[in-house]
Amino acid sequence: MRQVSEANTGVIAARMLEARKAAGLTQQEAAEQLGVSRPTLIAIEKGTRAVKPDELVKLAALYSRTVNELVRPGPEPRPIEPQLRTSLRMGVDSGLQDAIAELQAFADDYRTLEEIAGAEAFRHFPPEVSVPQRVDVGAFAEDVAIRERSRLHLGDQPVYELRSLVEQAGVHVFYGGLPSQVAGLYAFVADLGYCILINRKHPPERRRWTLSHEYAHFLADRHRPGVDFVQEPKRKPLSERFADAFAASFLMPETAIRRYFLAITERTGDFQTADLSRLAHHFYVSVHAAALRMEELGLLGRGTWDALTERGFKPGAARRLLGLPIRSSSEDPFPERYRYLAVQAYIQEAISEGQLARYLHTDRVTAREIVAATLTSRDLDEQGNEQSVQMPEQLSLFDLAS
Amino acid sequence: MSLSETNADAVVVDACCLINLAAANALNTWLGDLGLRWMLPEAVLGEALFLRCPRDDAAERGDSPQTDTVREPILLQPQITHRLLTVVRPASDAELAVYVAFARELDDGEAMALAIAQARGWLIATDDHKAIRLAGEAGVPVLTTPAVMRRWADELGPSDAEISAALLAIRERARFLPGGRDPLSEWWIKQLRA
Repeated sequence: MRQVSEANTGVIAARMLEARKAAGLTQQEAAEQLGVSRPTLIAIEKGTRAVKPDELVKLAALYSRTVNELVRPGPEPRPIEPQLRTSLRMGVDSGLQDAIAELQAFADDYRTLEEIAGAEAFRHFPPEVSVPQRVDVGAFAEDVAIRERSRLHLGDQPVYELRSLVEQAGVHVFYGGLPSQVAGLYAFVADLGYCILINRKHPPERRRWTLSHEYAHFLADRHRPGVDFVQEPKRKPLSERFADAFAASFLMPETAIRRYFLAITERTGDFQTADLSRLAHHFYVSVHAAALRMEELGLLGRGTWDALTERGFKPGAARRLLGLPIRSSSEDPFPERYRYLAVQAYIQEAISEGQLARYLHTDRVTAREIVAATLTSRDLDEQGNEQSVQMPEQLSLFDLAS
Repeated sequence: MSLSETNADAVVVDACCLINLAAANALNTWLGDLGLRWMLPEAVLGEALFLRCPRDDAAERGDSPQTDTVREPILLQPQITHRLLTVVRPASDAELAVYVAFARELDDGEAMALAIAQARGWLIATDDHKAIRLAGEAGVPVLTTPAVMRRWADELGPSDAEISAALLAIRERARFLPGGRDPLSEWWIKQLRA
């Protein structure tokens, strides 16, 4: 476990500045609440005047931060908000600002955990693609999706562990409380890497679509941050059209969709709403996305989905009627690696239980369960009975058998 | 300073120990009979504290849980009103400075508990390994959950069945078991199986 850099006055000052902005307070408002002049607060935020303990405690309460978050060892925050400023729209700014602040907090925590663990940042990213201006963007996205599937040895089977796959490509995936009309956002955080924040309030199928869409941005525009809305403007820019087409192709490969369609139609001579629901369930996408994909591939007539919705077709009711089970999905707000780093830091006593619960955004008893689950594996004994095996956390395996 | 060397009768209780004692129902029954004064740091009071509650119990109350257990909030106001727990906070610039210094290494509740215990010469009740290490470096005697439970067993004479039920409740409702390094680990496991 590496010695973490002590937070100096400058780091604490930068954190207070970031916390005030995330709280939506002006320097004047914060200074009045603290009972100091505005120049004094500015000096504190610049690090030219050390903050006193009583001031620090008051500011932490004012900014809804813990004192520990402001003074703990670790790196200086890397603000994300300026990158996304151009994407902020009227009407959702407040909720979006909160979401950006949430991603900022996740990113700062992640960087601190990486520093504690001495973990190296991921460097082996998949190759970037450049979307050509004058070709059919749908065909190009299809080709990129096929290449990406090939690189990942996926064949044309449905991808169920999508989040894990994206995280293994070196992208940090978080789930956060975004405004309903925002699907997700994508940003680059210095010293951490590429981050995607997905709206956790959306259904799993929609989250998977958003994740594939954001992954397309990572492949094609990885240095350009952005916010993606549920309802995009009628005339989408090239990058958005590419991302949508990639998401459809990656989640629903043409060969697999055609094979599925032919298997049904050759047997029954028809393709009904129940078949569409089953196909959507098989590929773990929404019925809407599946219908549009089949329209695009020419397997269903253009306007089929619109006609279905006009007739009052309800995908949820159809799924229940058909007895299609709800698939389990990853609901963790943070990447799997983040959880391992936090548990490792706790086991090695680099962080306390209270800090662990805060890193994991949960209560202490749940944090204890996460530690136990992370260190325990299920196995069978000699009689075939299931048993739990507690893993010693720091045991070298090289010399065990000698 | 070791536990046996101190005459302190006041204990500042950290959240991790408080959760265990709440799981054992000690706050509502025997904790006040141990001859110690229990202090609750303001920052611990501000934490969201929960226990696990079996689904059957929740169903009886009309809840509709989706999993085997549900979260049950720990309500401390009755114990504060009846003065089993006294809410404490840093009372001087010196205590605030110590609190902020400990907050570099610990979460706020743990840091405030340790700062007040050090400044006022009290004990700290915690099971957190990092907090215990820092308490040792700061010369603050530590009372762990196993130590409190053992004291209850020795001084108030509960039956083996009562001890076993309390330790089981700590395991099931607070998900706590003492680590192998804890000197009372063997006693705990033996009582749990009694």
